[in-house]
Amino acid sequence: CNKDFLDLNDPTRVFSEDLYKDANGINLAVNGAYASLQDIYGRSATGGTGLYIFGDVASDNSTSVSTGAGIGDFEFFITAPENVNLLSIWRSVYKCIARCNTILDRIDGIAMDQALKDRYKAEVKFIRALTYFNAVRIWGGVPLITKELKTVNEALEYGRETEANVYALIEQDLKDAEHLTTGLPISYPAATTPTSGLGRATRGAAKALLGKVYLTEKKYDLCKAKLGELLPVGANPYGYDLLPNFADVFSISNELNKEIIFSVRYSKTGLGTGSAFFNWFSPTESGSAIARVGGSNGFNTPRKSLFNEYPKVLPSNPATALTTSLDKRRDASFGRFPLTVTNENAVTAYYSKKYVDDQMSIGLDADNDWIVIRYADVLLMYAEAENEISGPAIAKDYVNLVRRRAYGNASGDLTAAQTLDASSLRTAIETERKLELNMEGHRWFDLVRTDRAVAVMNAHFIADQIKIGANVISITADDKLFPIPLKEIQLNPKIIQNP
Amino acid sequence: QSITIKGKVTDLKGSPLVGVAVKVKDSKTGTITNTSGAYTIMVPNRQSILIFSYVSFVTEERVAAGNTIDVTLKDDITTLSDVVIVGYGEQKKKLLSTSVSSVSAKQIEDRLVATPAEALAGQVAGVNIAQVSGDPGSAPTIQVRGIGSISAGNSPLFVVDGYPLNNADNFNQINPADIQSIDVLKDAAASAIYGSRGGNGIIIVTTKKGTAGITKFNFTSSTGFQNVAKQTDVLSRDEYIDYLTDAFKNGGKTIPATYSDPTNQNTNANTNWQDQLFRTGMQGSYSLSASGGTNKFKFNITGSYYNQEGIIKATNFDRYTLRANIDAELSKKLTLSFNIAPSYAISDQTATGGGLNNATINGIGTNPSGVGGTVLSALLQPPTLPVRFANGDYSNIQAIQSAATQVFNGNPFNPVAVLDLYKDRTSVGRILSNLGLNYEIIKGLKFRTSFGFEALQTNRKWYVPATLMSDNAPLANLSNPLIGNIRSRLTTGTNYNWVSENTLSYNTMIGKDHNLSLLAGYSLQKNTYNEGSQYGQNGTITNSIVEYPNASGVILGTVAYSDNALVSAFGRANYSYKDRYLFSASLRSDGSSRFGANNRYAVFPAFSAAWRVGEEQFLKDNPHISELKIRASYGVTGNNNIGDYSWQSYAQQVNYIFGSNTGTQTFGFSPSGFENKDLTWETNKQLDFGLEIGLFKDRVYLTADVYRRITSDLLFAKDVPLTMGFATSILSNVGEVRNNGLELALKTSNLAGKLKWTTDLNIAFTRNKVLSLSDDGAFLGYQAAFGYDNAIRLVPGESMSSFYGYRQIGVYKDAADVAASPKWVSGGSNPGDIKYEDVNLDGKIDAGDITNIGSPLPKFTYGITNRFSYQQFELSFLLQGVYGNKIFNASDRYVNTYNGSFNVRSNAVNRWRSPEEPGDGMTPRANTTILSSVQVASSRNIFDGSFLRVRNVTLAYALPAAFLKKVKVSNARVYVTGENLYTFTNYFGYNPEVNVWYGASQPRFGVDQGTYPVARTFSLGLNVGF
Repeated sequence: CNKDFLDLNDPTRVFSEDLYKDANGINLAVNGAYASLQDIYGRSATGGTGLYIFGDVASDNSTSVSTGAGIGDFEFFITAPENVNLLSIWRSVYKCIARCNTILDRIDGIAMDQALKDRYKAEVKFIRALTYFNAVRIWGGVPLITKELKTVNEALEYGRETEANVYALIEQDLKDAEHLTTGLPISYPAATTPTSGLGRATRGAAKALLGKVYLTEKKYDLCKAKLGELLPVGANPYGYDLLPNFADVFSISNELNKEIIFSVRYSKTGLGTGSAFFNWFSPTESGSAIARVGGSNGFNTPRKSLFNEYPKVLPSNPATALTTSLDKRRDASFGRFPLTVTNENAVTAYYSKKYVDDQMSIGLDADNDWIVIRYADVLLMYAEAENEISGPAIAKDYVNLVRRRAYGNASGDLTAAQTLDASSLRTAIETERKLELNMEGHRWFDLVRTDRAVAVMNAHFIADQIKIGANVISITADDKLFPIPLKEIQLNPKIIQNP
Repeated sequence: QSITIKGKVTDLKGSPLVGVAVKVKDSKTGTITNTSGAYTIMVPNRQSILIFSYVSFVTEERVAAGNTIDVTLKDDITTLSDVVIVGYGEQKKKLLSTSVSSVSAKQIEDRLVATPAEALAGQVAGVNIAQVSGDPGSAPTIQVRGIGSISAGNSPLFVVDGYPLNNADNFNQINPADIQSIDVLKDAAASAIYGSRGGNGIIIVTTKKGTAGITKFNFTSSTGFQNVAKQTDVLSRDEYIDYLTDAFKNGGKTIPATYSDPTNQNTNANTNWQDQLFRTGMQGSYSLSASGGTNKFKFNITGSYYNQEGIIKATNFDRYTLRANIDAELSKKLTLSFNIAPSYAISDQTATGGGLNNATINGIGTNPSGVGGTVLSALLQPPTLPVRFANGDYSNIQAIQSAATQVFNGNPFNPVAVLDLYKDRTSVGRILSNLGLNYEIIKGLKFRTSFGFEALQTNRKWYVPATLMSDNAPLANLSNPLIGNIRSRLTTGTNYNWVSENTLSYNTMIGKDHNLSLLAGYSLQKNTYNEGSQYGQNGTITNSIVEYPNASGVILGTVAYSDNALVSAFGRANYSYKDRYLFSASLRSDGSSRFGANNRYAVFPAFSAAWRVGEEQFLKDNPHISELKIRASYGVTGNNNIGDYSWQSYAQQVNYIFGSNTGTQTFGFSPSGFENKDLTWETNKQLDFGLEIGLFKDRVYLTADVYRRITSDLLFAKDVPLTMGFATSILSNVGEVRNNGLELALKTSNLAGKLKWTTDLNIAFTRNKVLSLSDDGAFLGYQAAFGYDNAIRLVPGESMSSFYGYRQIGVYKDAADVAASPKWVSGGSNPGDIKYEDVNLDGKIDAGDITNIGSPLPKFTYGITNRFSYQQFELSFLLQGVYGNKIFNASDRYVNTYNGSFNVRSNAVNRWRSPEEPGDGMTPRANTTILSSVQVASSRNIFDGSFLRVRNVTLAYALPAAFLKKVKVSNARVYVTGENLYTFTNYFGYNPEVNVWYGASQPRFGVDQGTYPVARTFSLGLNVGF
């Protein structure tokens, strides 16, 4: 009698242990692994933190308001190990890793359809690879955990792994994910079922990400070979192609279009799965003029210098008319505030049009997905690898493919000077990636990958007069990696801080 | 041949005493005095002795020598009540071998306070009562003998008329005037009879019972008003503009011209925002009671009403209570006691504490939609901003900034808008009831069975209208309603608790000198809680009247449930020889659903002994020493206050999106934590030595206790490496903490003539030390406030919950100083920036320099009550104080952050301006960029929290008996009281008794983040008996 009287549990919830008991539980757990990507890329619950604080705020793309939350610290490179955003990303990364590891450890013991089991494993490995790839690019060699941890003491065993070993796991996971028989499918049926649906990781996504990993490791041959499998444009077995109209790529009524290879999905429901980027990125000056509800946080506001990087055509009377650009990407990417401004000098702020949801009715609950990898990125990466291997001859064509959509015709093709040699094309590709992939979280990682971060950023600090007090700031090679969160170092002495 | 004796019993003033028990010693004959104080009794012979006893008067004995015996009873000046209530029984105070403090009705009546605990503050040695929030109706925190727990709570167990409450709430709702006595069981030997709930001490409340006799009515009324005792100094308009100008200059920007335009009301108003927040609130308490009955049926019934207007606008509290106590003798052997206490309370709250745009609203887990915390935002609002703009809208700093195309950082929302527009009302219906049957099987052997029931029905609705600016809609305003901003929520909670207790007790004298009493018992207790919430977001219309979720665009709902159960068996034996040598032993076994499957049951033993040296032959006739007792006790108690299901791990819903285009929501799950089957009680082992000395017939009575309390298996939501993934912290048994203490209580009757003067003094010293942490970690830490990670730590060898951060040693005076000094690593240092100490002497300032910067635990606490009475007048005053604790001001993240966006504290006047004007050497320059060096926890947040508070002053006048007789009133008093009249402290904030999130699983002792200030109250009272 006593035993029953004392044996109480919460009938409104499910025991964690009961999750991994059958195929349905695994399905829910895999969905949970996908959901953890929302935390990493940014979700209302993370209070403003998302990968963009590295990809864009830390780069020369954007500026951020300095709030107590410390997102502005990334712009000024004064990010202390105490920074809450740093901690938040670290937590989200390892939450995702834990969800993946637990599924991988337990799925083999569950009786279920073998093909589905293989696919789930491949999906989870893709998610784990993507997450470690983000982590290794932010912090360098991170603790490499590949199994379910059950006790604190187990966790304390893990110090930092070498970068090479982290990359080895990423590569292996992606190879498993793209495996021809036990890996991911090329696509999913359009009709969503509990176990299937568009937006899950595909074989093409695994290949594209693996290509990006190889490129980051400067394994150009492997990169070219891997990304080559996603070619030719428009006729590859995966169906990827550039959309004719650049703006359509980001439209919330056109998500998962054929240019999208993998994105983190968000949808407004009032149930915590909406995206917050529209509110976060709208400049504070705009109040509720752009994002009508939910506030305008100004966490990630495009710089005027980014806007001005696109070639512009001056109007006849610059006092009463705005500039135009032959590069359609400029006006498809950026809006001006005030909305009614008629004179370029009167613009007080720009905002990214890639994260606009006019239909949003609840703050921080918009539809915009975060595009992780898209076909234009693949073409530019392929060009980069090809250029490093064989120079500009063929490589330039892939860049021009992207530019022809931007200009509508061949008028914008790279000039002879830009394609003179590998070095000049290298510079052209760097710029092209900035223009094409602006505000999509790539810029900082591109600069670090190409060892250009210190030179480009220091030039930008001078050009844009980024100062603390009276002094223009500058960075060194040590700033290429961010500090490990102090709290984690305090909790686990085996983890050593970055220099 | 019996003799009839008549007489009259009066008090010292000559007023008749009604209901005095008159008894013939060693017989069953007895009677009580009538309304004029007269009695008639038959005695067997002239040698008979009459005993006159009456509550709070000294019992008198008279030999029946004459036919008329008039007696004057003296007030029980030492207020040592004869009997104290211990768990499952009572004990003569003089025969206790454990440490128990008692408070009588007299010490708490006349106080216009919402909860009984407020009236106790400063009156019991070793019991630290802190009024941490001034929210109307809110209860103070109570700690008995230091903190022995970090996350299992430090609140004692409350036992009301034998009912061990599940929820302290039912104690807090007792009308203080209903209380007969409060006994605090302090040492483990006394509290071990409550086993796993005794770890933090026990507070036993006995409510007033009826006495046989003519029905007496009593009416009490007390009305008063409250205001805020002080304001926090912030910059005035001109100082602020000067400060802004400086900040813009240092940030390389130009200040907008509007600030130099005195005609611009939007940027040159002169608003005292604190005046906008606070008001004078009315307060009142009224009760009417009737008590009386016969020898076989006695009753006491009280109805009362209490209301309090908060000192912050939009906050109110109203409470209606009823209490009925009934005792009936069903047969010679069977008696029944029944009490029932329903109450109903309504409270209106608003967003007060917490962050500037993320208020912690009492009882709401997540802030509705980033509604501003008014206490903090009233400090932050620039004084240059008007309350309202010309068009009637609430002013909004962001609107001005946008117009000036100047981005300031952050947005403190207009507190007046919150006070006017945010709606939040909670109504709670409660009932506490207990039925007991006592059966005397044979003489001395009694069986008691009781069944108690406690219920709370909570109904809360809050509402954020379309017009209230918030994080969600920063520019919403009266002229700009944003329907997406609408939030409304209705939460209904039902809590049921029942307890069944069965005890067998036996009391016997063996021979003339040996007294033995035995107790055995078995009890079951179960608690269930059900909650349903409906909430709506987004309105369909912009009408602000939409207050119910039904009218919202999106309607959502959740449910919550929890339960726990406790099964116990217990026993106790008391033995005394000649009332001189006292021994007691008890044992309890508890099983609780809250603990891991591997650790569900525990046993809690206790022993105590006392030697009343004063009763020995060599001292018994000493004319000076009336009492000399030494006692020793040892006991083991537990603490099971960790919430339900804490050892289990449940899955949480984490949803995702799949499908073409915008996709559809797909459900997913993830474990939310780790299971800990070994989770067990916190165990307190306490050793206590006591000394009691009574001199001059107890006119001077000293009680001294020293104790050592060791808490092992300390429960703590331990932060774990985030690489664990599923949880950021795990509730675990992590270590051992020691509290050493010394308590002194001195009661003296200084003058006993016409002018009477008594003094109660108590002081308690506590030393707290973390002895060890079980996992060999260097420390366990957690957040002091958002962003201040590991700023509170448990470090072996230091006191529990120490503050950690950088230690400021100044500001960098000039470029030469920067060049010559260690610099802040994350971003460098410039002249005028904060200079921290290079603790590890490595030539740079980084995380390696974080060090202990203070402890929130006081070195000692004390209280002094003085009572004077002269004829019809009585004057008492109560001083209460705390010494040696530190406060961590987390609001300083905003009000001491020199970034040019908000108003700041007045110390900014002394800021660094230039090498030539270095200010006070500690206050950094104004700047429009927030450097990471000002965002970290440091000694800049630490303040001395010592204080001495004039807690209560009461002046009472009892109307003369002659006059009362004419108006047929038996007694009447009028009195004026003042609560919290003045606080002597160096702390700049509203209230040094800060303790935000004290109820959280990681409590932040001494952390101030804009809590509701405590009020100062003046009141006028009337008490009439007829």
